[in-house]
Parts: sequence; structure tokens; C-alpha cells
Amino acid sequence: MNANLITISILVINVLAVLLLGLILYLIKKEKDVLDINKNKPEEEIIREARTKSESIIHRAIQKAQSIIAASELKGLKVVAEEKLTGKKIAKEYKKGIETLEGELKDKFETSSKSAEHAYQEFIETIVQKVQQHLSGNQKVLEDKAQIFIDSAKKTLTGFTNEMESTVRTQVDEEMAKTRNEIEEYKKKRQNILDEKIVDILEEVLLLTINKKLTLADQSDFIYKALEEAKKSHAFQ
Amino acid sequence: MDEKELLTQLVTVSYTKTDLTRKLRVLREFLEQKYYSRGGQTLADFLKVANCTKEDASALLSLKSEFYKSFTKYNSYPLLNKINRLLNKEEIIHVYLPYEMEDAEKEKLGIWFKKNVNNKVILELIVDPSLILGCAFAYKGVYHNFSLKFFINSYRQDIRKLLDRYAQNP
Repeated sequence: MNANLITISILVINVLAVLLLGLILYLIKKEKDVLDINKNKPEEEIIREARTKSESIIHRAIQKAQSIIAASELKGLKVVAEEKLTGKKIAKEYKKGIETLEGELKDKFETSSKSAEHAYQEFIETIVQKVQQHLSGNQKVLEDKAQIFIDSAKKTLTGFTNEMESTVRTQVDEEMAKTRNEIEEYKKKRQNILDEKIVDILEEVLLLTINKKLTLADQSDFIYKALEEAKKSHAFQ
Repeated sequence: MDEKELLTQLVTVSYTKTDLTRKLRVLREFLEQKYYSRGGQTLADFLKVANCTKEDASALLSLKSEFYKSFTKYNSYPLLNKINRLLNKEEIIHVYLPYEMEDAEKEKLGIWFKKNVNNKVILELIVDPSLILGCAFAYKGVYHNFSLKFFINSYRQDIRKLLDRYAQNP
């Protein structure tokens, strides 16, 4: 608002200056017209009169302009001074207000920060409590689960051990039975081989002993005996 | 008579393949001297001087006259060759013996086979020293062992019991 006042005052002064200039120009023109009208008058006199009039006019204009300028300057100064005072006053009041506000804000901030700190403390305590509760709860759960796991592992291991024992026992029994069977089979096989070998052994023994002692007649008898047996067994059919 | 009938006649008076082959040789010699030489002896005269055994001679003499009438000057060789070829196709029983038999025993063996198996059977006697007692033979592609092994196998159970008894009471 103060700035606007200054601006308006400056404008007013400028308008007044322009009006003054216009007045001067009007007066000059009027003089010229007078001069034109008074052509007949001697030039030097006219010029003298004109000069005198114009100088007086100019002097009067200048005085007026100077007084206007002085007035406007005074006015401007006055305005500026008033503005300054107002500004200082405003600044002072503003500063005062700021300080008051600052104080209030400071108090409010202190109160808020205290309450926030308090709330934060409470929050921290609550969190700590809850975390401790959780930890102790988790520990308990962990202990319970560990115990369950240990029990179940023990049970499983016992069961597995028993199962392994019975499996191994069964397998050992089976292997023993298998081995016994194999031994029996081996015995039977050896028995059969021996039986066959006995025949071969007997044959060889008889070859060594009887062959050299049998007569041709005995041999011949045996041949016919063999042929009779062949006939009985239908070998010729 | 054709070659089959002639061979049948010869087989009835022979026992082994060797016999037959030998009789055929004597017959050939007789026919050669009858048709191709100046001899012209009768069969009986020829056989007296021929290189053959008494058994062969009596066997050839026992053949009927129709047998000899079948041979002429022109068909003797061809007929004899046909008989030979037929003989090679005949079924022969290979008899494996533990020793070499004499002729009389061979005849006896041949008679046994003709009586008990077939009148037209021809034998091939082979000596197999590995045979102890008894004999073996191959008939219709099957080998039959009736040597000592056969007899011992027949008494296997008894032999085993005997051995077990000895094992328990040594």
C-alpha cells in the first residue's frame, strides 16, 4: 500500500510537470501569434519584448515547476519517511509477533516433542515387552517342538533298529537255510558222482583183473547173455 | 532172378558183410572161369580148387540152380556190380565185440541174429577192447551198450547197499 502511494505521488508529479510544459508551450505560441500580429513593429523591439516576456514566463514556469518539484519532493520524502516509519513499525510489530509466535511455537514444539518422546518411550517399552513375550513364547514352543522331535526320533530309531535286527536275523536265517540246502545238494551231488565213479572204478578194477582171467568161452557166454538182455529190452525193434 | 533176389539168396547163406563180399568174389571168379576161360568147370569142381573156405564153398553149393542161371556171359559183370551196390545200401548191424571171434563163433553169432532178429540181417563185426564182457551194437542208427557197464548199472542199487554196508561196518 505504501508502495502504491509512492507510485501515485510520482505519477501526479509527472503529470503536473507535463502540464507545466504544455502551459509553457502554449504561452510561447501565444507570443508568437502576438509577434505575428505585430509584424509591423520593429523587429528588435519585438524581439526584445518577446524575449522579456518569454524570459518572465519561463522564469515564472521555472519557479512554479521548482515549487511543484519541491513540493513533490517534500511530499515524496514525507511519504518515504512515513513509509520508513511504517515499515519500521511493521517490522517491529512483525518481529514482536514473530518472537511471540516463536515462543509459542517453541513451547508447543517442546510440549509436542516431550509428548512424542513420552509416546516413543512407551512404544519402545511396549515393543520390548512384546518382543520379550514373543521370545519367551518362541523359546517355549521351540523347546516343546525339540522335545517332540527328540522323542519321535528316539522312537523311530528304536523302531528302525528293531526292524533292522529282525531283517538281518531273517536274512541270516535265510542264508543259513540256503547254505544248508546247498550243502545238502552238494552232498547229494557228490554222492551221485561217487556212485557213478564207483561204477567206473569197479569197471576199471574188473578190466584190470577179470579181463585177463576170463576165457574166450566165458567171454562168448557173456556176449550171448548181453544179446539176450538186448532182445528182452526190445533193442532190436 | 533180379539183383535183389540174388542178394537175398546170398544174405541167407552169409552172416557178415565180409562173408558176403568174399562169396561175391568167389562167385565172380567162378563166372569168369566159366564164361571167359577155357576151364568151364562145374561149381563143385571149381570150389574144390578155389581160394575159399569150406564154409563159403558149402554155402555157395547150397544155393539153388536158379541163382546161377541168372548169370549169363553178357550180364555177369553188370549183375555183380548191381549186387555190390545193393549190398552197400543194405542195413547193417555193427556189432562191437571185446575180442576177435573165430569163423565158427562168427557163424554162431550170425545164426543167432538171423534167428532172433531178422533172417536177412547183415552184421559188421568190430573189435572194441574197451568193452569188458558182453557186447555193444548199433542198429537203425542207435547205439546200444550191453557190456559190463550195463550189467553193473543193472545192479547199481545192490552195489551201493553193499558198499554202504562195508562203509558202516568197516
